[in-house]
Amino acid sequence: MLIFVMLVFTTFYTFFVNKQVAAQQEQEALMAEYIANQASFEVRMALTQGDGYTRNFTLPQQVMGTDYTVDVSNGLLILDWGDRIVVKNVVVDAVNGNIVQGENRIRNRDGELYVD
Amino acid sequence: MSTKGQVFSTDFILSAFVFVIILNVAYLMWTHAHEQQDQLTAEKVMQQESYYIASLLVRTPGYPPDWTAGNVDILGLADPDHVLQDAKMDELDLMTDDDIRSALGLSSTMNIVINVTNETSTMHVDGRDLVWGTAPVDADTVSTAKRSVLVNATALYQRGTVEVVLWQ
Repeated sequence: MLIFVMLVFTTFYTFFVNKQVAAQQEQEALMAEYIANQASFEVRMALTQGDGYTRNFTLPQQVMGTDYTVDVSNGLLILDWGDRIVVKNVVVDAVNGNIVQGENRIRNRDGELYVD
Repeated sequence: MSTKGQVFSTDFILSAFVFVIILNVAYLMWTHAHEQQDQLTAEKVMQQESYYIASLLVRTPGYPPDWTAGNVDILGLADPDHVLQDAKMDELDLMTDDDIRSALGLSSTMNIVINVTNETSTMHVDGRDLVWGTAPVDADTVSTAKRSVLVNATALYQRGTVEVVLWQ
């Protein structure tokens, strides 16, 4: 009887843990998508608004407890957290400065984008 | 009188069966709750995306500013802010759904409808309806963002609303 009960518990525990991990990863991916959308929108808006545009924006500190980085290169914005990435098309080859967690200010000067 | 305890009897089989059923129900409820949470978060992300697209369309001229259907990088219809330009909508007429998705940075799984309406229906300007994209069919998730604009057409400004519908 003990073996039966342990078998049932072990089986369900495995199911629960696997499901919990999958759910956590899904939520992380959606949160990362949310942050990448915001960052890419700010870059696109700065590019299309042209020279003289300035705007402050704030990105979340973490992707559900995990630090992340944002890199813009070759027309793509890449949000990297843990061993996973989200990629967005932002057209610009690069921005001067880094988009970081927390406070950012983006500027367009003569078509060049600056972030500080 | 027997001194042995219950090891394997009808009572045990019944109680084990009920126990497994309860665990199964708990698992299914828990899974359903997670699916609901994922769905809510996905809707939130899509709502954010539709809001951003609507902003780009009605607040910017796009990129390059004098873009055509052949060279557009970022879609924008307004110049100045919140005034839609007829020439840009002419170019939008020439773009396929894939072109529009690409110029808005949308993934290939996302569908979009851009609809310029007056108070009651799609605006009809210069012999054409101001609507682009594919209307939702069997959509799992739909998100809509609306922005008030002026439409610069036939040398007359008309009030309208840009409605961006994202669906997948």
